[in-house]
Amino acid sequence: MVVGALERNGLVLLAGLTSLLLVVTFYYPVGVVLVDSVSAGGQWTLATFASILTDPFYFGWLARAIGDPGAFTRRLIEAPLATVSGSLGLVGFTAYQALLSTIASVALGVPGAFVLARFEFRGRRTIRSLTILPFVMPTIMVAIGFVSMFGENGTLNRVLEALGLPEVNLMFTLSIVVLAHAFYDAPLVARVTAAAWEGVDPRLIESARSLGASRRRAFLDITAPQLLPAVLTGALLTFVFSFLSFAIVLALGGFELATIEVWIYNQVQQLEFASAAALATIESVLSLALTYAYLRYEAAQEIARNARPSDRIPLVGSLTPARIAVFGYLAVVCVVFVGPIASMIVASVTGDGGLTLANYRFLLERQAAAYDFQVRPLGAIVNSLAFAVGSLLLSIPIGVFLSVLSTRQFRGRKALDALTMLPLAVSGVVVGLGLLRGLVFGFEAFGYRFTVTGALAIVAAHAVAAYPFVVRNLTPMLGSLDSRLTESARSLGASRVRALYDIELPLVRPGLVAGAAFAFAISIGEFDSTVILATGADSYTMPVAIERYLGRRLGPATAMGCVLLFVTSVSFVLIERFGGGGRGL
Amino acid sequence: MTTIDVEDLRVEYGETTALNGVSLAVEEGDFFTLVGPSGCGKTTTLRVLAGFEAPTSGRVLFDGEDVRGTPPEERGVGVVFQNYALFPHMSVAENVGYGLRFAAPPEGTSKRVRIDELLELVDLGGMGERDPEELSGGQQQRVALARALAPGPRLLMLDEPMSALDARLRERLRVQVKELQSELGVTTVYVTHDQEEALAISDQVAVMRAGRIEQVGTPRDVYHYPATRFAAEFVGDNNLFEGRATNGPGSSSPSNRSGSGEETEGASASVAVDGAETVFEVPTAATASAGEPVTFCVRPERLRVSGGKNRFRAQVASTEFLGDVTRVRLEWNDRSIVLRTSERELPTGTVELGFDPADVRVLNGPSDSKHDRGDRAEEGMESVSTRDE
Repeated sequence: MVVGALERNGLVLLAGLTSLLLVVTFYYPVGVVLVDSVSAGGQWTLATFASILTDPFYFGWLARAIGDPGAFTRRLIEAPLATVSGSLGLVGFTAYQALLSTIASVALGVPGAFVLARFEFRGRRTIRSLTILPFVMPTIMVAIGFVSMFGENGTLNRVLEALGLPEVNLMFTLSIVVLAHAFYDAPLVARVTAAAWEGVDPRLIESARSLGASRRRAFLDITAPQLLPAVLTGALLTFVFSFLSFAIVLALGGFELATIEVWIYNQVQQLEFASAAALATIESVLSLALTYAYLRYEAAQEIARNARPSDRIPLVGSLTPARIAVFGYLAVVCVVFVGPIASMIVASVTGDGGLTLANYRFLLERQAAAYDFQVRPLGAIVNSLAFAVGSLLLSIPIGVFLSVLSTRQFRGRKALDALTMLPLAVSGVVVGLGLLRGLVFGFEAFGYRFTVTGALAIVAAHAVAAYPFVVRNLTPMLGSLDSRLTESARSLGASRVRALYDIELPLVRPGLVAGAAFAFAISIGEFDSTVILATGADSYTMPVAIERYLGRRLGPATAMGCVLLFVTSVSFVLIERFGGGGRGL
Repeated sequence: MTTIDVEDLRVEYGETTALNGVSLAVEEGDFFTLVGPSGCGKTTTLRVLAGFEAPTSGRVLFDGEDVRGTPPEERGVGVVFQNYALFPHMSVAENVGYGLRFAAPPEGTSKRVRIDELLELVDLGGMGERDPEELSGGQQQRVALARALAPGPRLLMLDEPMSALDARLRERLRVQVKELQSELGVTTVYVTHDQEEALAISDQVAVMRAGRIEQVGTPRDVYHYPATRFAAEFVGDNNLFEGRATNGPGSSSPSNRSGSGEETEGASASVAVDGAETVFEVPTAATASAGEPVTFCVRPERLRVSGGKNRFRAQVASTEFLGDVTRVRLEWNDRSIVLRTSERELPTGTVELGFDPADVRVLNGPSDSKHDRGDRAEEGMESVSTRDE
């Protein structure tokens, strides 16, 4: 009885601590942004919203419709095409580039799923595992890779030059932004679709064939309907990610191709906090709606589990049209996926006179000579690691506790799930803005004024970004644990706490390790909120340092990128080794 | 050793009632089996006894002491689950020794010795260093049993421990379990849906249905004297007859061919079976007035070809050769009758069957009116029915 009471109280205590952490690191800061967006000089006002919603800069032709619906409707009837044409505005452009990115990701991802699901070749499993790698790659590192590959002096232009072909300039174009988004999201689409493809029961296809359907017809009638939900799931997720993309657009597109996210950053830099907050609110509402749609859709899908997938076709063999198409696709994969990373690595060790370690030496030497306002490379590395450890210390307890809760049945569980997963739908820039306004600028409580340093705020932001991944990795493992194991332990004399320690924790350790590795990788690569919160050179992280070098010092940027790649790869190996292979997020 | 008393146990989950007033008494050292179809509440009863679930109302007493609020780890109940629930991250020896982390091994033996002793006991000597997953299903089951017994529990509970094993292994293991249990003398509660297993292994059997206990008794009692229609049909094959009394006890019916030569002990009644023009003589404890409904049953092995006092002619429909016996299905007045006989006496075509009043068990009627409960009125059932095992 005493132990039981202690356990119940312990649970309540943990719940209190977790809530406090979430409120301080997420809900309060985001609340501050909300308040900022509807107040000016101590007065409640919707003026900022009104001016944004009716400004063609933000909403394009739609702004006129919002500003004066009557006049807009009249014009729409008189000249429909002229009325809805012209600039899309910032918000419209954000959606437009997300749509293009989604199309590109599906176009690149579905053939990949076909290869992974239907062909057998050496290294298939490895490649399949590698599809999760982009997900943990720091965005700014990928941007560096794309600059190395597709930039003015990039690998692509060197190859074109050698072939005597005209150079192409992709930097600061929509194409490179969309391509970089596809780098991230096409593997995701491929993963989800390949899983569905393997889940198609071959006996269904055999039945259809025996009933008279041709191979093509059987694919259209049996396979395709089972793939479609997976493709749509991947596409929705891609759209959400691309809609909220920040570092890629900032580094590869610049302010000329700004999305909402980039423009919020721009407004923060210019200290226009009111319009930044209003934009952040508009963006968050849109992304919440999208995320909600995604989660609803995902939950409605059944995950097919099939013990015996169809036999795979050997990839190496006589040149059938299918094999030729696959090899063509693999060439594209090499350019888009392998190219940027390989280019970055090569660029980091080459200089004017061939192979050199000068870029890495720079990372070490700059340390001693740097002025206060300059980036200290070694400091950035140390900061990144310190912040990552700090955010692990926060995100793991939160994640473990929320996982334990989500495997139990109680009233209000759905609401709790939603509240704890909300941070996934709020962009890093918005969280950063909230932490900046709410904690770094200081707040008053109990008659005192509290301020939090940028470094602490960064740790908080990273923990918020990371803990959902701990939950996502741990919950399936906890959920699939046989409750009779714990019951057996208890009937043998173990208390509830003891059974948790002896039985449950050892059995979910792989999920915990994978979640921690995810959290570590997310923190190491986090750029969106860090760039807002890293107020001085003393709190710069590796990704921020890369962004500062980008443009002026590509060499050191690539070297720093390689250090990031190394750290991320170690995390990836841990995730791959221990991860439960969750899908989607 | 320990006795168990269960008093009016109720378990409700929201709208559904899992246990609807279960009362039991298990004697010291007894092998007590709860048997019934899935969802009848047998596993729930076991979980309440082990302390995994709290009853909505009712009491559980071990040795006369109420165990309400006692957590599972303090109840001293060894549990073996259907899937064995062996700890996958521990070796066989670590599994068996887990309970010894919390209780000193009995009689001053060391932990190591105790583990070896138990592994020997279940014929798994020398297997201690293996991982559970390296073992066969039957071996895993015995590890689970050894693990449950290691701390010297006051009670042993087994929840369908054999159902994942193949039939032959199941029969061998149940002998072993039974021998082990009587050797150790530990009071045991066993849950199974397999009525044959229940009869073979138990000292006492409780037949459960829909959260209630239908009958408690020795396997012989439950088989030969089923208390309810459900018990009659669930345990073993049975032939059920429903009809109405045509006259008072003691008189014989006109259609009774063998006449009233052999009088049975006690009173009897003539019963006209519904839908048939046949009247059978069955024993009754009390006077039956004409028109009263009577349900009775006769075991398939008690039916005789061309013998017995009550006779009727039936048509052979199919035969199943079972090895030691043959099960014959016959048709009689649009009903199915089942007969167990040896292969040598295999009937064909139309045969005359018969049974003696002594082999009749009246389930519902003047002798047994307390079972005439409204909740068992399963209308539309065949008045004569048989069950597959």
